[in-house]
Amino acid sequence: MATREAGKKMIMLKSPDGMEFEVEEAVAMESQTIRKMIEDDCADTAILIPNINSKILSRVIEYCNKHVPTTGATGAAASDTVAPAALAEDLKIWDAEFIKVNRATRFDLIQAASYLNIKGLLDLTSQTTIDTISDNSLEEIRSFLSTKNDYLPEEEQTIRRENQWAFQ
Amino acid sequence: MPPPPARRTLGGNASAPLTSLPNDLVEEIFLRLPTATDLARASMACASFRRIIAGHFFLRRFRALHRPPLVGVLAYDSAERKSLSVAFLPAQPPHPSAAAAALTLAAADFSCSFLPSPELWSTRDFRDGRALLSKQGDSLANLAVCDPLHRRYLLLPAIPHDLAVLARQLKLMHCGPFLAPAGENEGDSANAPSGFRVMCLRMSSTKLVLFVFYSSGARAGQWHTVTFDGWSALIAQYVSAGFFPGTVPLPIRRHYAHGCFYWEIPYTRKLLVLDTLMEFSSLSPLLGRYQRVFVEAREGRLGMISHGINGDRLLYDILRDNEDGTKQWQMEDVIPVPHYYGVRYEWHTSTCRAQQLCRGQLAAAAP
Repeated sequence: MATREAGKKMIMLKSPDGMEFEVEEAVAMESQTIRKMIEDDCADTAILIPNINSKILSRVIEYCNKHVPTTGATGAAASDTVAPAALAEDLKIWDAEFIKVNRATRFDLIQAASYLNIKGLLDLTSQTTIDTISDNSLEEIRSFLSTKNDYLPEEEQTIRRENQWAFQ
Repeated sequence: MPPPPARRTLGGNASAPLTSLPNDLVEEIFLRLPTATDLARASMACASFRRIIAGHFFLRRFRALHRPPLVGVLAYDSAERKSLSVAFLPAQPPHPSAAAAALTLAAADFSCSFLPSPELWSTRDFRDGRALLSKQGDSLANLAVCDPLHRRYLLLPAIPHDLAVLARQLKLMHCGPFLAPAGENEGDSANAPSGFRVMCLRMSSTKLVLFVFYSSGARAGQWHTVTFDGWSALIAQYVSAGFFPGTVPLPIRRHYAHGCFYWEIPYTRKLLVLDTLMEFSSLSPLLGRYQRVFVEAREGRLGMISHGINGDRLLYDILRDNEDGTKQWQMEDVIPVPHYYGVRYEWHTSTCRAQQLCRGQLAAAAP
């Protein structure tokens, strides 16, 4: 691998539908899966990312671009004195916008985050599901998650009795 | 139960149920649920969720990430009762576990009526929601560990004859029997409350033997012994100076912090240590410290709270590692306490979990 001093090292990511994305190595290494490939010298010029289409891969790269630790590379105006708390707040607002997608896309993002092993993205994409379960009635949970109640009637009665405390 | 909500659309209502994700990803999401309550709610949504959540492997992972909440503390029942009874001090509002504690009370059986002849047993120790019980007579012959919350118990096998003979010969000092958490080798970290150990410590002037019963792991189901070669050297000068009469075994005080046990050896100013590898060593606590209580300090260190010589302040010392591998006590804090003539402070530290409940705050009461 080339030395890190020679400017920013770029990596090519390829989706199975033939699109290519050139990203900074540091951005790609937000994915632990890709990081391992690079560190093990398995990555030559381009890395094929199987199962993740270009639409989803571009969103994942967008996320990594935003979340890569800044070392003065982005935002020329950003001085060294930007408070970390303000940065974190900014990221939170950005994340909230980023995750405003339909459910099918969110599930695609969950699968991509899991395969690429990007913990922050997996946390973010799982959160809506977690909130749904924590904050709603049983019928709402089923409706939001599009799950069918496939319990037998008597089975459901028993389980309802056992778990009644969780809905008080 | 609130009425069913109006149908909402969220990214297309019929498309993409959560069950369309592979099971391992649904597990990943469920692992992020903050509490066991949320887990129970999710398991009611559909049978396939319940299958995932009720799976042993999933529950082990979930418990490793989310320690079960503290719902209360088991304690000796002070009331005079004919039959066995364990006292349960439930968490009270505004503690977040108060509701769970009330349910625990309803489901548990603190009179241990599920035990054969409960009237013959008496309580010896408590830890992690379990009570150690013994029958009258030889304390190592008839022991049981009882879980009043889940209404189950385990009768411990009698200690083998040769070990029982050995135990009777060790009459200088004793501690126990008492409950200990499962050690690191017994898979404790992944499934916190599943395993336990029962221990009993006995000494003569030349020999120290710890009797250990393991509930899980490679040595499960039998009594084992651990000895300490340095014991007779540690105690010799005090024995020859006549400190120990040795006719009746002298009880010694036990402390627990960060997986290690500590015993204060009377007259010697020494602390006997049993570390997480089940090896004994000794420590010298600071002089001029009275009514010592050993606690879990930050970063895995041992902390000691005590009275100074005047009794009007509490001293907090931490055992630090020197660069040369030795250890040294360092004073961390001095806490002034009201001091009245004739009033003595006593520690109330019933269990290790109770200390965690206090989150390091000091609880002292004037009797």
